[in-house]
Amino acid sequence: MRRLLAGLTLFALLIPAAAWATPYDTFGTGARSIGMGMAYGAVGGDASAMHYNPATIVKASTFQLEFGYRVGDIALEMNDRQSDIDQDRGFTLGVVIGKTLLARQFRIGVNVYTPDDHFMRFYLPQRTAPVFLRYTNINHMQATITGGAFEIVPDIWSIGFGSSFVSSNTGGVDFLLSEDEGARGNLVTRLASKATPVIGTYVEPLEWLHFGLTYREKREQSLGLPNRIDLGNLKVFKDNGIIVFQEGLEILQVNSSTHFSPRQINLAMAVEPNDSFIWSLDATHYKYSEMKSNVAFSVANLTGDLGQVLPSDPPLLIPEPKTHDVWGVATGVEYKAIDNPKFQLHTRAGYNFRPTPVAEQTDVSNLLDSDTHIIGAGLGFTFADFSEVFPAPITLDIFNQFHYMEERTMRKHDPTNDFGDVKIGGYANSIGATFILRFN
Amino acid sequence: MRAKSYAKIAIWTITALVTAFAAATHIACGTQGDIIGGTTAWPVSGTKPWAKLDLGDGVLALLAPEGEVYLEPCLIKALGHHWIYFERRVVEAREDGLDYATHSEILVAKGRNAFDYEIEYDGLPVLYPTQDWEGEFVGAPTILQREDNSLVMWYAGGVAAGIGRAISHDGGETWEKDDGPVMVADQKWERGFVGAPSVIYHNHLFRMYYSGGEVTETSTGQFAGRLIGYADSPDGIHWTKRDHLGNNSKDDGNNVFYIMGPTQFWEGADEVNPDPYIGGVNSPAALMTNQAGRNVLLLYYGGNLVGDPILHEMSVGVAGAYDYNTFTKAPIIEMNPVVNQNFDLNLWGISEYLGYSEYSPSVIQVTFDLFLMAFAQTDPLAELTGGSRGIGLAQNPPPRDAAAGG
Repeated sequence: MRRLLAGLTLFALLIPAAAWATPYDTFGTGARSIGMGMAYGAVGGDASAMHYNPATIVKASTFQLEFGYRVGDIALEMNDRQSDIDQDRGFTLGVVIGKTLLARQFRIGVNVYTPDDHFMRFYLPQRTAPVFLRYTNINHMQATITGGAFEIVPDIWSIGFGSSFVSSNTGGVDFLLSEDEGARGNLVTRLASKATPVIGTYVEPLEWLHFGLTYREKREQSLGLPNRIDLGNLKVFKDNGIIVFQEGLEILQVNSSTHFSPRQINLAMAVEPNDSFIWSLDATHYKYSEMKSNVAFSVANLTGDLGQVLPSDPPLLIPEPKTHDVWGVATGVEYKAIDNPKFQLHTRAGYNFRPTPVAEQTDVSNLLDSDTHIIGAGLGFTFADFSEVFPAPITLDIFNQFHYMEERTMRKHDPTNDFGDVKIGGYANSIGATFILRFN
Repeated sequence: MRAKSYAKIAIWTITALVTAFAAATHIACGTQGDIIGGTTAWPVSGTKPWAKLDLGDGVLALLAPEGEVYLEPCLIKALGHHWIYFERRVVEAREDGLDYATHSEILVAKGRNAFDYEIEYDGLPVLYPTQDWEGEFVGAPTILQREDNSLVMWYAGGVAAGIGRAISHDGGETWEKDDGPVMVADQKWERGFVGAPSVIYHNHLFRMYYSGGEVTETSTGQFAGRLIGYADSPDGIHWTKRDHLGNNSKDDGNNVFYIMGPTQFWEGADEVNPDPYIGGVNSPAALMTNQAGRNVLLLYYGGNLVGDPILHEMSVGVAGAYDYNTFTKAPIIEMNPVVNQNFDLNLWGISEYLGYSEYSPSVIQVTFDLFLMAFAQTDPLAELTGGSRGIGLAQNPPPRDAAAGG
């Protein structure tokens, strides 16, 4: 019965819900991995591995549930003032189930992050609005990664795959404006979804040496709103029938790329000289050069007499985001400080360096970012004495994650820029926990 | 059986701890942020957007009575208060039906705060024409507070006659004028006219921006120039005119150029056959700002279709410089003019758009993230209807619940 319930739950989560993956990219997922600086591509073994390297979920138990929560401040500054970005806050749910077949491990898993405030919030900034590349509006995206993994060579080589589901909201206004009949119409929206793949492989050439390789496809979120406004005849007086402007039609197409996560290749290594110590090292290539502008743009087409009278504004130039590819590195350690049959205590620490992919914003665009240092620390409490309820140990992992964004000043070429020179910097500080229940 | 009970207790205890941890951190950690997420603390540069302030049913900060025009405000914070010094110009209608100025003087209004002003001294002028070169007109004041708490004023005198200086030691009630003007028109481009000065003190020099070129008296009684020049002085009395090409009046005589002229369509510029004397930019207001540690000089100015007797369509634009005389105008897409408000006039069932005229700006930075502009305003039918003429206020950024007036 428990397995059936878990299976149904997993099936429900596999339905492509609205999802963005950005919180994973910025903050990571899973208390253990965050505590290790997100250097997790060759570690894994839990549901958070669906993001870092799905191949490593073969190391998870054949049935485990994970519940997590994180909260923190994003205290980034613009010109020495708090930028007032809302909190990093949300729940994580992870499930891994699996079986041993033909002496090989098979697993499927899902990892879901859900903000506890907005389920999803689109943000269409004005053309020149300051936007922190990896933080603005980041806590208002639900993220889901689901997939599976299996061993090619038992205990040595496994591969994994997953999908990150991205939703897209489309629709628009269909409206009639008429002097005689008043205004009527409606807003039509529909939710579409788009999946992008995550593929990983994991190798243990030696018992103490592990390697991981992960490819994450880029994820783009776009918002298209075609608006149709029918304009009725405009008369001199309401009832005299003298028409000043013949009826027309306005089509206003608004398009925007609202989210982007770059294509990534992650190379990972972990050294586990004994049962008490792990050292991991990850290097990730972020292909930010493919990023499109994140600002909305519109195309208006006005027909009828009004279209001949009203001037059309020149199309706005969409500022180039000016991003380039970067390599980020991360390293982490885990040490088992207490180890007895009933209780284990793991201590963790990690460091993650993310060079900025954003060039100095000298023109009208204000995509803000700077080199960022991320420090993670964590503890893991594993209880093994609940064998009558849980055949496997249960774990409570807690973490503290600190982001430090280096100070950087974006100097404008134009002294009349409406935001002017912008100096950025600051920090984000989060704490959280993940509770892991293992049933096998 | 007993172990199973302990296990259940342990699980519920851990679950409760996790929940309590989440709840506690939810409450204790930080702020929620604004509703959009990071928009309330955007940097403010003083360029755009501006919104005219509705000071109660649209009433201007200072409303001129019939037969008078208030213009050329100088908005300052000095001696612990906000002040608007401004020019009162008395006008009368002549045979062509339009108003023309008869004389002018300088009044002052004291602010109860940055937004609420009342005219001082029972409406009596603090400065009025007394010297021959001033003729019947003094106006366009610009004022700085000195270290000894005295005030120094530069003002335009006469009709294009020059720029004078006066000092007050009693907080602005009485002023001692220098004998004669401290600056007169002596450059070719000025065509005999200098006026509407704006002075800042920066890097050990007084720096003046002023109007020049042909003078046109508009139907609101303003003497509008067409071009803007620059001069600097160590004492505020002896001025050296300079341009962005390196020419100066000491070494190059009367060959110093203006630093800004009409080039954008809203300034009335002829974009096909550019001519600095077609269209106009005038009444500059200089403000030194600091953007992330770098000095940026902003120059607000009026731009207009000089010569249009009814619809001046005067507006306020902005330019900026990283030095003192090499200005870049804000682009016309989404920027200039930065104060150019229209109102909807429903005339015989047909919607038409006519513009207010805004001109003679003066800007101060009230706080780190608030700029305040005083400007002269008329409505487009003022001459026909006796509509409002006075001093209005605008702020950048607009109040959170206000539409931008740009």
